[in-house]
Amino acid sequence: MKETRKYMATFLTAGIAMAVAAPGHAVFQSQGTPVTKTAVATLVGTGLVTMNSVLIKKVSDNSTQSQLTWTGVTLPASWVVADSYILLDAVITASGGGIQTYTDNTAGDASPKFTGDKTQVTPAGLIDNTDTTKKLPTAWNIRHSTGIANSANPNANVGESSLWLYYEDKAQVAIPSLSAGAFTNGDPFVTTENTTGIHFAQGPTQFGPPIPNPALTGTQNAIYVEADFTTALTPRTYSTTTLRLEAFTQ
Amino acid sequence: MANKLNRMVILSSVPLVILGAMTCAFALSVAPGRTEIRLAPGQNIKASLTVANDAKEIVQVEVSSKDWFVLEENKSFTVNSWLEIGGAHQFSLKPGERREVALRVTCPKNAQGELVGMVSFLYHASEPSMVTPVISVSIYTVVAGTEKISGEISELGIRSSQSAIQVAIGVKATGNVHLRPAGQVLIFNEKKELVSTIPIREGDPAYPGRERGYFGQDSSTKLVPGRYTLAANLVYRDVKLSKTTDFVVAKDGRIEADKPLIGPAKS
Repeated sequence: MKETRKYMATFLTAGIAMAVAAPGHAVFQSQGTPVTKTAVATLVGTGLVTMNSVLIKKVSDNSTQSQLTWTGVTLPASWVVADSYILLDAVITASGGGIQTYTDNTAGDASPKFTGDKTQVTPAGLIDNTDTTKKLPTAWNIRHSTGIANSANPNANVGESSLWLYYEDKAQVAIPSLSAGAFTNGDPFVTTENTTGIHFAQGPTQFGPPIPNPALTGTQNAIYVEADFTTALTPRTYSTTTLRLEAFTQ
Repeated sequence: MANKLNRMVILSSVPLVILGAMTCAFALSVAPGRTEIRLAPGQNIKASLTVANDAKEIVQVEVSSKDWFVLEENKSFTVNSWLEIGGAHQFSLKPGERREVALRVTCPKNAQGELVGMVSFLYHASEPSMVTPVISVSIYTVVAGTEKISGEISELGIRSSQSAIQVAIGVKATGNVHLRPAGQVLIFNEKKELVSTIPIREGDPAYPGRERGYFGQDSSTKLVPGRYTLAANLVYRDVKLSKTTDFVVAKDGRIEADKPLIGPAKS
C-alpha cells in the first residue's frame, strides 16, 4: 500500500514543492550551545502548531454537519467518498511540526473496538459493528479546495489514485503480505500537513503550499475521506469513533 | 461512549458508515512545543507545560503520554517508566483559562542515548467527538554520558523543475540520538566558481537508524550547459556532514548524473 519511503526516489520523479518561508514565520532556532551539564531542561518554544478549528462540512452545500457519513451506497460498490469532508484550520510554523491523521480503533474510547487479528488485518478504517474482527479500508486526501472529490483506489496507479493515502491505525503492525507497514509516528504517509505545506499526493516528499483559493483562507484545507465497500455486507453499520487529527512538534 | 452510539441511524438497505460526530471550532495551545532534557542515569528533573484555551467555550482536556521514538537499546523503557505527568489527567478549561501541567522526568539507570516521548492533549467540547483533535508536544531526554551523535549523508540529488533548481539530501543518523541538521548546498561550475548557495533549513529530526530527507531550492539561478559540482554541508551541534557529487547540465537544460547522480558520491 505504501509508497516507497525512500525520499530520493520520489524526489527524482516528482521533485518537491517547497514553501519559501515568509519573513513572519518563526523558524525554530536550536539552542546553540551544546549542553554540558548533566541535568538540564531546555524549553524550545519558537514556532507553533495550532489547529484553530476542525469542522465537518457537507460537500454539496458546505453546511456544517455533525458526522461524516456515506449515504446512498448500493452494493456492490468499491471506493466511495463520504458525503462530508473535514475542514481543518491549522497553522504550522514550528520546525518538525505537523498534523497526522489515523484511526485508533483499539483505544479505550473506540466504540466499536477492533477485535480482529492485527497480524492479518490492520485495524485501520471503519469497523463492522456486527463483526468487529472485520473492517472497511479508508483513505484520505487533503486539498485546498472544496466541492466534489473523485474516488479512486489508492493502489490503482491511474487517474487521481495517487492523491489518496490509505488510513493507518495507531495499533497496526507490519503485514508484509498486504504491503502494510507498522504505524510510525510522524511518518509522511500519515502526515497531512507540515511546515512545507499540505501532503497533496502519496509521495513522501509531496508536500507543498497550495494554490490560493478565494473560497478558503490561507490556513484552511479540506480533508476528504473515502471508504472501500468491496467487502461490505448489508444490512450492516461500519464506523469509527477514533479518527484522530494530531498536531505535533517533534 | 453510549451517547455516541445513539447518534447512529441504522439503515437496512445499505451499509451505514459514520466516521465522525460533532464539530470543534475552538483552539487549544500548548507550550513549549519541545522540551530537551539531559540527565545522568538515575537523575530526575521537574519541568512543566502550559496549556491554554484560546476559544470562547469550555473544553474538556485529557492528558496522556506516549512513546514517539524508541531506541532498540531502550525497548524496556516505555514512556511511563521515565515520564510522569503530575496532577489531574482530565480537566476542563474555561475560555481564556491557562493551566500548568507538571512533569517529572527520571532517567532510567540503564538507558542509552536518548528517550523520546510525547505529552498529548486530547480535547473536545462539552459533547464528545468522534473526530478527536490532539496536540502533542515532544520531550527529549538525553542520557548523559551515553550519547553518540553521528550521522552521514547517504544520498545527494539535484533536479530542475520549470521554476527552480531543487536539491535533496538524505541524512542517516548513525549514533544513538537524533540529528536535526541545517546548512547549505553549494553549486560550483567547472572553473570551481560558486554559482549557487542553497540554504537547507532545519527540519524534521532524523532518528537513530533512520534516514530523513532535507530539501532546498534556488529559484533565481539558471544553470547553463556544462559540468558542475554539488557540495552539501550540514551541521548539527558538533557534527559536520558533507558530501559532494558531480552533475552535467545538458544543452536542453536537463540535469544528468555524472555516474551516479544519486547514491554513493565522492566525499
